[in-house]
Amino acid sequence: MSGPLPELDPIVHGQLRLALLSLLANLDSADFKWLREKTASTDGNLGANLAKLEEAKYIAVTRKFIAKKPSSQYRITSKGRKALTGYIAALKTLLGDSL
Amino acid sequence: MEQPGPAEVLTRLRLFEEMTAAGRRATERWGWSFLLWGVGPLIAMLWEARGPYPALAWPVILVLCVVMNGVVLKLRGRRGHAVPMSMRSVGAVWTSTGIAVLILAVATVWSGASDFRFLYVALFALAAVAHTASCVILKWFPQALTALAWWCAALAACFVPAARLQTLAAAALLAGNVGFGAWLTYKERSRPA
Repeated sequence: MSGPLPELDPIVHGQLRLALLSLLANLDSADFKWLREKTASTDGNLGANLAKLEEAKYIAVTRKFIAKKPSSQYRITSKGRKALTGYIAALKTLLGDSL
Repeated sequence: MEQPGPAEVLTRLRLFEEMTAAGRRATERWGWSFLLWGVGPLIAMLWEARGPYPALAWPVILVLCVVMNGVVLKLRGRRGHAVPMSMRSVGAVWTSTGIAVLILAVATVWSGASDFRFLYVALFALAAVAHTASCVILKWFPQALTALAWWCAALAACFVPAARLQTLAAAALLAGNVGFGAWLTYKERSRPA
């Protein structure tokens, strides 16, 4: 082995959070319903994981009302993009080490 | 954090790739918009030429088109959607073109300018510019053909007799907006959600 094992970001490591960041990395923005549909998750689970990503400032949220109903638009921040890139690089290093 | 085993690492990488691809596949559906802004002006032209109260034709139809456009966008927002990266640039192109068209049309009518040929050339060229910019951003060949149709119309508007300008506008709307909008709607309907 060439060096110490890379640290994996525990916030990105959660399966649903990784899915969310990967989806948002290729979009300008997406709303709650669309993310729920793509990740096949429940409202509660999705909401909790989005809140965790928002708390870490990996995603930003814009809340507005459409036809008197609340609608949240999510987008990845530059900090979130950097964290995702670092996480994927770390996974690839780990995979390389295990081969 | 405990290091994951090779199987979990592979699962994570696969998930990343799948979700990245799903994000890239997200597309907006815009065929209806081209159809609306192709059929709307054609109805206005027909109404102005043959219908009652011809002075009302353009204001009424344009207001209706703007309202319908807004309603569809609102309804889409309710269903849940994602905005692809390219949409911001394409949206900027069409918004600025729309504003330019509105200012030119209103200014020409308001100032009482008698030479409508220049207005037609400018409107056709603006449509051509928007389609060209959009097709370059989206790397979308069919839209390049639409842009070509509008460039040809802009050139032709410099030479055709004044009495034929309306016919040229109708042909350009049919080929440039209605034709492209119908094709796009068909493609969007046959695409999985």
